[in-house]
Amino acid sequence: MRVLILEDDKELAHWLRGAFTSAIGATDTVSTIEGAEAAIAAFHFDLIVIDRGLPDGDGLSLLSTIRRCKPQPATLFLTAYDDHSDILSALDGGADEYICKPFEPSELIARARAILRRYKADQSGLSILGNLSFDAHNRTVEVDNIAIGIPRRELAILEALIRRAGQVVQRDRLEGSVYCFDDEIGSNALDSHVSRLRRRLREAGCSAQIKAVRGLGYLVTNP
Amino acid sequence: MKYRGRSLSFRVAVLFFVGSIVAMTMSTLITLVLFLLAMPDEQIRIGPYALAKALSAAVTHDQAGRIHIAEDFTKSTLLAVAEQRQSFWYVVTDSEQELSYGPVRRHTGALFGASPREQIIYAEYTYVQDGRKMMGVRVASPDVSGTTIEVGGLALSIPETLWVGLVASADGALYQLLGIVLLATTTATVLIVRSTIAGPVKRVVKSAEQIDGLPNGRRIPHDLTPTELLPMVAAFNTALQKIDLAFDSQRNFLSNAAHELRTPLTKLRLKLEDVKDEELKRKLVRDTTRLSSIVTMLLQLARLSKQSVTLTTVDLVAVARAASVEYVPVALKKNIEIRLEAPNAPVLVNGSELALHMAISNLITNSLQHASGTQAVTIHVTCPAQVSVVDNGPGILADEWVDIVRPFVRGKHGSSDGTGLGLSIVCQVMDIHGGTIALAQSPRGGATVTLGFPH
Repeated sequence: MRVLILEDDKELAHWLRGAFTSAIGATDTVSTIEGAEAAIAAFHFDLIVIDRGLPDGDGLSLLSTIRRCKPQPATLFLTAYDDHSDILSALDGGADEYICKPFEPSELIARARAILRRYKADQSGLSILGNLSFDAHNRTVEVDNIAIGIPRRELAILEALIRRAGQVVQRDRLEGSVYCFDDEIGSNALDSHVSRLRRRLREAGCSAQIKAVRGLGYLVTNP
Repeated sequence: MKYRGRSLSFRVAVLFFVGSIVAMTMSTLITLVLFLLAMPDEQIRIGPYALAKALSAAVTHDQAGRIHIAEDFTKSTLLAVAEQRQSFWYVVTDSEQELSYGPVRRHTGALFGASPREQIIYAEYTYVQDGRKMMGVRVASPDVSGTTIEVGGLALSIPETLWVGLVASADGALYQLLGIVLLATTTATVLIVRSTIAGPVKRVVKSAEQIDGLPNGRRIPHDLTPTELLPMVAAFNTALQKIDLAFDSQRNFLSNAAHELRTPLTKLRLKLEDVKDEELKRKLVRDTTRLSSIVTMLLQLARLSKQSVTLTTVDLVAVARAASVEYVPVALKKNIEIRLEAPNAPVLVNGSELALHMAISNLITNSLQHASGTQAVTIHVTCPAQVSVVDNGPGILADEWVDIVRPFVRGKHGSSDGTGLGLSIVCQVMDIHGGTIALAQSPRGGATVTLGFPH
């Protein structure tokens, strides 16, 4: 794993470099957008951590350069701009995560790992949560390396949840990933699919749990 | 009435009215003086003729059949001028009697060979007395048949002649006509001034009203503005430009402040990782976190100035859902259940999505942070537009309700992590929306904060 950090504050960049090197892998730091563009052109990075208020502009402008990279690196904005519109414009522009300064050091590393996991899962098709592993390419689920059979719709629900593990997936998004346009959806059809999936996982001894959040949706966590 | 003095059209109308009277009087006087200077015979005719006409209008017969001259304004005023002349005379005759004043010099009968009974409607003659040319005038009374009036011996100066002429025409409709003309033109002036001044001003005002208050928003257009109002419009537009600049600099200040305050706070927080004493580290981290929250909320409060918030149609359910979802992971860590109870259809209000998101987030943060022992936080969205955040924590003491919305005031039950700014922000957001905020005790203990929006 290789990480690039774009941060103009030397002290902060130094700390980030140390933290990311020990938690994730080889880490380089640059202090300008120009320097970041040169680094991206020369090497492949798995994760780019970007500050916004930089001497030569707004770190957001780097997103267009990043979008042209193959394979695309994950991006994490680490910035002092916390206005909701700032966050939305970064996420709309393709940022994977937006963390406002000041941040909890452990949370930053955890979120960076989560993004990388998601990217890895996208590439390999394999997501792991506790003793549960989900292979999106082969459509198989294993708990403690023992395969369990899960019907198509429940598998789709598990896939949607596991891709955003730890975060709520709203009902309408879940329904959208499970049902086709033509499907007749009963008002509690989704709930009964989830409850069957939950039972199956529990019976298989799965450590990850699917939790219902009333009025909002579901999330899967590994307590 | 007190605005009448400020009304331009009223002032112009008054000026026009007074000006017209002065102009008409002056031009009449000048014309008459020139006329009299050019025509000396006219000057000696006007006095006796006016007196004869006034007397003929006043002549009546009393019950005994005697000639009687009634009192009226014109006759009295003219006689008052004429009787100052010793040479002035008049004589009123009918078939049987005669009433006379002054040294009568009767010539008409001799000249025309006619007796007073004969109906000579009008006759005049000149004669010289004391070296001055005078005129005698004889008229027949229009009302009393067979009555004639003869006047003479009246030598008047030009000003006296003018005075007599003006008084003599007072009985006629001339002055009424002039009055009507003046009133009509004054009314017309008011209307014209209104449409020429007030019309364009109204157009400018209408453009000004459409100014949206957004940065670099609309300006009053120059092309429709009359030349006289251009300086005002230019000044107004310049003022708006300055407001925009001030707004921009405030915005820049806020983002700079955010950056300048947060970067050292971040470094401070990172340095705390090196503190070996775990208990001290925990306390220092808590204080730094609180300081960071205060910075964040102060910036939120500063951003909520009314100029920077744009209101559009917003779905309260969607905003509440987006805000609630963000807090589920934090709540789960604290073993608190978050739930949303909302109708399936959108609940639309006129509002700012960002500001409402901020308000609801602050309410949820309050419930999660301050309500120790809370097991559940419920966000209710109801129609017509209301959002309530209900928790089952220790609640807010009744005597704190008024104070707690003030900046930096924290409830007695709250945790020490609070900033005391959350509810101030919520109040400001509701102020922008013209809405209400109500604090209450939840049915099973805990606090309920309800935001109400105008329909």
